Amino acid sequence: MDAISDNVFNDLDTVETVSDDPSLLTVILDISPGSWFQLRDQISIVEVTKSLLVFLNAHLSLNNSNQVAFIVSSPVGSKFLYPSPVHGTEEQRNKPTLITMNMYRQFRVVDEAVLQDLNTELEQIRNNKKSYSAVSTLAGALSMALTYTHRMLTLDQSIRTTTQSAINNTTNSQHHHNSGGTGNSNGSGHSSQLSSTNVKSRILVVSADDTDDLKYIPIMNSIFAAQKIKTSIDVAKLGAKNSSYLQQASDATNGVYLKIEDPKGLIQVLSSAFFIEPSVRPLFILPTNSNVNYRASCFVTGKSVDLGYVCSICLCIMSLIPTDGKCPTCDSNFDARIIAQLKRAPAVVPKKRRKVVSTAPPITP
Amino acid sequence: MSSTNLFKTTVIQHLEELPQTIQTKLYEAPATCLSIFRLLPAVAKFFITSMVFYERPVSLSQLDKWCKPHARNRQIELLQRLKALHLILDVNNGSHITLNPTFRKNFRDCLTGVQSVNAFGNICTTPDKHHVDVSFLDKFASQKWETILHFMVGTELVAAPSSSVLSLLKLGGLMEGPGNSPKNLAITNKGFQFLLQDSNTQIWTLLLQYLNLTKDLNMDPVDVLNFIFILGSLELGKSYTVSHLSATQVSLLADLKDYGLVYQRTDSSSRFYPTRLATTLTSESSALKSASTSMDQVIESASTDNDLSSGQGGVASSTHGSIIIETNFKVYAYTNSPLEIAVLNLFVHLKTRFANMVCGQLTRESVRSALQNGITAEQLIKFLETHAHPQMRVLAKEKLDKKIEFDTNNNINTAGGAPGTKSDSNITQHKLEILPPTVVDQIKLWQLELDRIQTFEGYLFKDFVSQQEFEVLNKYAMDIGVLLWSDKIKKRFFVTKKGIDQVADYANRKIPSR
Amino acid sequence: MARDDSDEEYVAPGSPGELSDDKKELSDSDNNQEEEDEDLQDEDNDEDDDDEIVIAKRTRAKSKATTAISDLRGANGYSWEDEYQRSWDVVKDNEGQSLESIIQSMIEARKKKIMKNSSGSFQRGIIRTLIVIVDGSQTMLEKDLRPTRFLMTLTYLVDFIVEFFDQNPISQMGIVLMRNGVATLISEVSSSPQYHLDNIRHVKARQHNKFEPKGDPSLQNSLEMARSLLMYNFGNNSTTNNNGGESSKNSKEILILFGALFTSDPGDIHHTINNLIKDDIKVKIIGLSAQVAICQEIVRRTNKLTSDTSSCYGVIMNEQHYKELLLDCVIPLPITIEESLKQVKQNRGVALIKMGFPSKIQLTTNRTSLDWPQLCACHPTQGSEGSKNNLLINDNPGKSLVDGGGGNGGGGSIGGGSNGNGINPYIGYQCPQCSAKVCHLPTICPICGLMLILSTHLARSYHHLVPLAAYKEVPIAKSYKSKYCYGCLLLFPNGIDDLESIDKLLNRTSSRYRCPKCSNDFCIDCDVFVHETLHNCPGCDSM
Repeated sequence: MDAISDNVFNDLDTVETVSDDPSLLTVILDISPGSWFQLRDQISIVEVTKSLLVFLNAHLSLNNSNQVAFIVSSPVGSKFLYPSPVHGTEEQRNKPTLITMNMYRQFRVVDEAVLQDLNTELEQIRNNKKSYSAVSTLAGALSMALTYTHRMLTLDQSIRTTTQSAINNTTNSQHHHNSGGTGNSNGSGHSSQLSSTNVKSRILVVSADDTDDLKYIPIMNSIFAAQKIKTSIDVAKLGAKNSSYLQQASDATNGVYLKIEDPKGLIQVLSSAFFIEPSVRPLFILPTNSNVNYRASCFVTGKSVDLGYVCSICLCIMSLIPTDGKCPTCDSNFDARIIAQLKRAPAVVPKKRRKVVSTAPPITP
Repeated sequence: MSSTNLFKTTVIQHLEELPQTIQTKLYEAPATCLSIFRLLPAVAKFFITSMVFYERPVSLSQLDKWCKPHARNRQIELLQRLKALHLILDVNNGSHITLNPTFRKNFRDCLTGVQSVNAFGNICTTPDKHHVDVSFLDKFASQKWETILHFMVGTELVAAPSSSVLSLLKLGGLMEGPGNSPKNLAITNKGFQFLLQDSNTQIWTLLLQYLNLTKDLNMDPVDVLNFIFILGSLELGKSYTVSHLSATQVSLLADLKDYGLVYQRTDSSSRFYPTRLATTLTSESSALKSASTSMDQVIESASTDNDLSSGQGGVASSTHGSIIIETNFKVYAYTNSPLEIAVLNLFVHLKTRFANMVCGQLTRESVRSALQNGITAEQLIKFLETHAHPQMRVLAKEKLDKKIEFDTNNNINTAGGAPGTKSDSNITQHKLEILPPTVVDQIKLWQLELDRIQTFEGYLFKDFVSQQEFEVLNKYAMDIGVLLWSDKIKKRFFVTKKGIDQVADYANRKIPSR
Repeated sequence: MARDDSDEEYVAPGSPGELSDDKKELSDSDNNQEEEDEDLQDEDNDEDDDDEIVIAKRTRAKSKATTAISDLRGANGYSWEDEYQRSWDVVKDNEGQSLESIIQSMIEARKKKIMKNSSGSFQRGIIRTLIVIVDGSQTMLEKDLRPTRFLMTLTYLVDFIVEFFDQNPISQMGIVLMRNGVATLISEVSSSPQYHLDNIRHVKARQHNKFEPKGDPSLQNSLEMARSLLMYNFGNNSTTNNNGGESSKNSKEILILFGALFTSDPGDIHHTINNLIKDDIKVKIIGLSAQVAICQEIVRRTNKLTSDTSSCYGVIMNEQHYKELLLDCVIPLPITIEESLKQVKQNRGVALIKMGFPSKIQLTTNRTSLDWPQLCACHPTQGSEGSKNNLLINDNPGKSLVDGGGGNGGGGSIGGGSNGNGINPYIGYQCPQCSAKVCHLPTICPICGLMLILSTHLARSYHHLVPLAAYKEVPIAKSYKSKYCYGCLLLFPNGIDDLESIDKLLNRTSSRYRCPKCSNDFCIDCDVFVHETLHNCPGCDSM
């Protein structure tokens, strides 16, 4: 009897281990002009955007209730392009459409919003020459993606977000009476009345930035937050160099990090390696093409380091020993003797047993 | 198995059984490609998208590298299924696979938006004199659909549905009786099951019956299927022109109107409106409950206020569930719709009826009679869950929140446990328990009382020459997951009906014929 | 620093009389507190301004309030010696103060206590490897702690793990269950708190079969297992490191939560104790019923104490005391007397540690990762004769584990070191200084002695360093400049036209919470999420 009942009880619960849950995909596109200029011979933003739009469409085509979001991170600030808070006003709709009217409506709404706002965003950068802030805003974009994901994952979706109103506006004004949120069942799936905790989510970062000047702590905080809300961060890195922080982000969140050597084939990579939905992720061996570099960032100079000094009180990282012998963050005085030992030239083989740390000659295994 | 998967598998199964020529013709329509794609399991979707933009054939060994070892079984099963749909084709003697070129082209067009003009229906550009709004369409759809359901449960006050619907019901084995006269028909076991499913599944059940019928009606199944799939991608509240449709599709339109899927003012009208029933055809109904709840709402709002004049308010104000179940098995349903009451009566011992509610009790006898009617415990539970009163949902959610909060309180500031780790399964073990767990368990137990024996159709392999021969085949059958039973000593094993072909193939290859 | 009011801080928020004293103290200690906050407790310092507890803190405030009340019970030693106190008696509506302010002061009092506990600036830069041995013997079924000793231990252990990794970000922990005469490994040595929490949840879930307290405890077996776990995780360098210099950088510790009053061992436990001393492993014990001579001896000898073992061997008086004792173990063991004397003599400052952040090495083809075993420098003798001794127990870690922990499945948790059974043969880390390969982190490079850790380990505590300013609620107005939440695009309600009517609708708010730095408006849910989980302001970082 035990065997039988076990069977039935389990059967009812775990028939489908891989469910077709709706999922949220947030794409973050880094459009800092400098890095794309470096790549001008290989690919342009327009081409990348095209590929990304197809990618978004493919994600929407997976499931009727799938959702997407698109964020740009530019020197002038991070911004949601879709769902767009300002979108859906009358004048927006009267603009000439950039997408062919024949496209499946669900795709068209998204693509149009993204293209239009991306244009304005690029224009803004062009007109705004002075404010090229040195630091990337990717951390902010990531934070925005996480707050949005958090809203979508856990909270009552029946609250009308601008997403829904944007869709309402672009579709048909007659929907307004559906205050219960059941309009648009063909739309974006915001129409559920109860919070559906079974929504999965992931974030894709597309960046060509080679400078690695991301804000270290915000990125790290974002990584931990992503871990907590079980969101993977996938990274498509264009350009010449690997970004070690983004590598860490994807490595720590079970995401996919790929450095794309030939951006011409971007769509192929997007539609295969970056198309592993969170729900099927346990079944697949995730692709990777590089070793993860777990570098940290120096608190003083902001450079990334792989060998540094750490204050044992507050654990802040320094690439060099501070001259005043004080921790820049917590102000503790460092032990002068230890500093002296650390500063000693590595050639001297110490007779003392203390502080073998830095002075031992490097040996290759 | 949830009902969504049920309807998905039935649709896919139907498609699998079609001959290849018809399948390939189907793939010529982008809308169909999109809809079929949506019906596939998640892993299959991944395989297809990864091949859409990849021109060359993919070698199977390459594909193996994607999957983790424990997913191998699933992968084999999926490829089998995709092959049956002819979505992927073997090349190079089966060592490589490639995507069906027609499908690839059209699906790609669909994603990039370069498909032909009216692939997703042709919107009427001219304004309609007799314009109808969404609420009217909802009302229309629910009225039509409910007529059918009412008829099935045998409510007397409604008019019988049209004869085509009746013959469909009879053909589908949902009702039976001599002749086609409405009075002679009686509901069958299958019909009872049908009633408990959500409307999406119901519609698909009927549509599939309709497809079976098309051969007799000399209709082109491709045309019919294409049209159904296009319907699923149309926009609610917009009118579409009839002129672009083929003759088959125009005649189909009349039948669909009977089911409430489309609205056409007159048969000769040059435009039609898809209703919500149609536009949610390919939606995920269980995932966000959008389709089913919206339909529930529609049905309910129409049934609670019988006068059509209340208009828009009906949809907005009504709630989408009305049943309250207590841990002592008492059931309260806030409804006066004969349909709902009749459905409830299938498995609840109803005791009292008030102006706006009925009370009853779930008893062993009442549930047993339902089970004997062929309704499964799972269906009962599912039905009760989807129709639960919002207050029950709120309570359940509060309880869940408490559990989660308890967990997170003990988990604060924890790193790790990213998606996909083993820990996932532990965390998600808190499920939203809308129904009291006692009731759920008891219903399952009642079913167990009846289900002492499970039957499988399949084939017995016996009389092996050597132990080794047996082992080889036995292992293969186990690997591909079709083995049901085996006995080493007697050298016999039993495989499912589905698996016989593969195992027999393998046997022919591995074991020299005697 | 608030040294002057340290006396009051010692008084647990017990009787109502003391409470009001505390309250008085509050107002003038506010400023002092802010200074104290500097070090670690930023989580709490948001709440300093009494009236500033916005709803964003609602969850935290709520939970604190309840614990504060439960603290009141039996704080004066044995609970049966206390007079019975009903929590509602404590809340007196005196001096016209509202209930709210009293709860406020309770929270503050509790906070002060927490602050006191961790005010000392201890070294975080130590790789502590701690094995927690949980008693799972018959005696743990006693109900003197509710619901049972065992369940309460597990519950507290969860808090302990969280706190431990919060305060010791580069440490590792393992959990051993002492049950039915044998030692069972229930959580491998790992630096992922989540991994341990999951395993503890498993143990809790299987109360009624596999992990039900049963049989006699065996200190020797569990100590030997803990010892081999500790040795195995340090590879070979534990022997070389024994010579003083490194011991300030890593410490091997065992914590025993002991409910029984006896131990039944297969061999001579004194032998084991000698081994522990030889390997420089320190043992702390928390007894749940009474002092046991052998425990005292273990503690005394491993910690090289002379007679007073109270610092390392505590016996609980009540639930609250249990928790305090347990949380005391979060702080690293005090440096031995001789060392501290030396430190005082030389007036040394804080240590500066050189650390390496290694790269993760995984053999790959151009598309997928290969599962290809690699050799590592820290276990060069793995499988050879000499290492058998250490490996005996660890040979089959997966088998004794509960289902969830066995495989390396997923591996998404932070760092490679946390993968299932601690060591994943397919993933290696390369020392940036000497390019040696090691198989788990954090560790000390066996070749060049550099401390190797993942940057994510350190970063786990960084949000304490750069606390995020609290958002301020936007006052109600006729119209606002923001229409939607900056973080999640939630539409805000419109302004209220009729400002007069607000008094009637007390609960009306603007629903907008503004970041003082970037002046973007957020909704309440984002506010909570940003401050409790993300620790980044999406607005400030995207400017």
